[in-house]
Amino acid sequence: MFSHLQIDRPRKLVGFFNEPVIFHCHHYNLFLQQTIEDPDWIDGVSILQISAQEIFYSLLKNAFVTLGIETAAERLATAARMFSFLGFGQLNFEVTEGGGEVELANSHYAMGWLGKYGEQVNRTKPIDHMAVGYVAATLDATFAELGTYVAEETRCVAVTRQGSCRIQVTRAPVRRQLTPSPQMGKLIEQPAPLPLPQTSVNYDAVNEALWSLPLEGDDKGQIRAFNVLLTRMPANYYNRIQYRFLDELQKLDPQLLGIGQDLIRESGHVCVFYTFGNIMESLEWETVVGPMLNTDTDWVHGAYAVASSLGWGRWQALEVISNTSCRVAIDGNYETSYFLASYPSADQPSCYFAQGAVPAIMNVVYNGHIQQKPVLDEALYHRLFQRNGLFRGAEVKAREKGDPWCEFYAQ
Amino acid sequence: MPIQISRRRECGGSWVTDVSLNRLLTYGELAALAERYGGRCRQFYQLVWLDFPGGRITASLRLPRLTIRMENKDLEAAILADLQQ
Repeated sequence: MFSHLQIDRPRKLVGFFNEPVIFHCHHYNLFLQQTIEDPDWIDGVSILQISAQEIFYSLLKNAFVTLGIETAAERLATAARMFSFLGFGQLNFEVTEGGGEVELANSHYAMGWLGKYGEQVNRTKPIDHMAVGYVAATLDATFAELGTYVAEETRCVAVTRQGSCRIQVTRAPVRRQLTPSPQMGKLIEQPAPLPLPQTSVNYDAVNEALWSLPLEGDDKGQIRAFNVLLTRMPANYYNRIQYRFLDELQKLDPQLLGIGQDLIRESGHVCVFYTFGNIMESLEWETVVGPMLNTDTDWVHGAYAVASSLGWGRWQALEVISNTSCRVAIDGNYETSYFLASYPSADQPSCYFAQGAVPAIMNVVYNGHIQQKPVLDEALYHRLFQRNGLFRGAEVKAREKGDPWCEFYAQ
Repeated sequence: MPIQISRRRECGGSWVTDVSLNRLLTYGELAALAERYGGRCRQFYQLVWLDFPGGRITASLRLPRLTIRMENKDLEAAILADLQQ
């Protein structure tokens, strides 16, 4: 599978059977899912499951065509292998064209949830909405067309705390009209001529070192690296659930939209705190980025060099003033590439994840003192992100509004 | 050689072992260590992965440290004892 990843070096994107794929950790995955799943007044579970079915259908269909896989058995085996490769766990299909049952072992979401919350709370509802969509997409792409199958999780380890998860899949009474992925979306034509940052961090060297790592699921279908539990997720799954969630809120009550946007920004805080916090305390960081770090502002640049290695596009700090402010360009952000391919126009800057992530990096460096390797737990998170005196950010240029790139300011 | 061992619960719930060494290990030494225990050694710039059936050791050619993520605790104990010799 690894050989099918295509690195677009100028745009700093990673493609996998024509879908952009990006790394995030289970803290972000769980937070974003919970944000969408929790409100009673929208059908968040359907947003998550259907979006997964749509995006993974496109990915699997492309993979089957590219690899010339025609038999059902080979297609199911490939889908299971891909699921593990991406870090989601292990699937075992016991299905025919009429449907059947699928075993899910070492589920990323269930195991991640148990590791994060399992000692504090009990869960009563299944958690594997992305896997449910993946299973339906697999049967769609194997036997039929998008929207033909429906799936449901009937046993979940996050609830039972033992054994494996089970997913039932059947043919829908009527085929649903679903929307395939926009795939790579509206890409930038070529990289913008951004000024070279004043730093000893060599962004390109960090990119090459991290891209050289064959990060893929192990024999449990888990990706453990940089001190975190990672997934290599199609970016359009995040994009679709995020923007569809906001669309649903807007339809319900336009006043809820601002709250939804703030929650997506909050997911950017969560991502940076846990994913980047752990990365910046890892042996990998100390080996690859550590020798380039001479000043505190280099830590901010190092974080952006890593960000642009994760498939997120070309993230580059244009100016960092120690403990004061930073200005960051994202040339070809994955949120924007999706947005421009899916919506006619933007009324306001719409890279909500990045709007949260950019100030969060300043907070991790200057308020969290990541250089001193603090324990990255919820107590520190609340101290860092839920008090006054924090860095706040804004998207001051937006490709989705016609600017050549997106630009963010944090102070 | 003298080594310092510390264990921590990693993000995601599993336990990992950090090892501080008193000197840098060369790629040749890491490759030999992997070979002695049936593993595979791969270098990615200054990072080295030692992959075993029961897990992975991440090593650095810049820093005298290892991070061990291994389910096979017997194998981990044998490797730690080996490093101490």
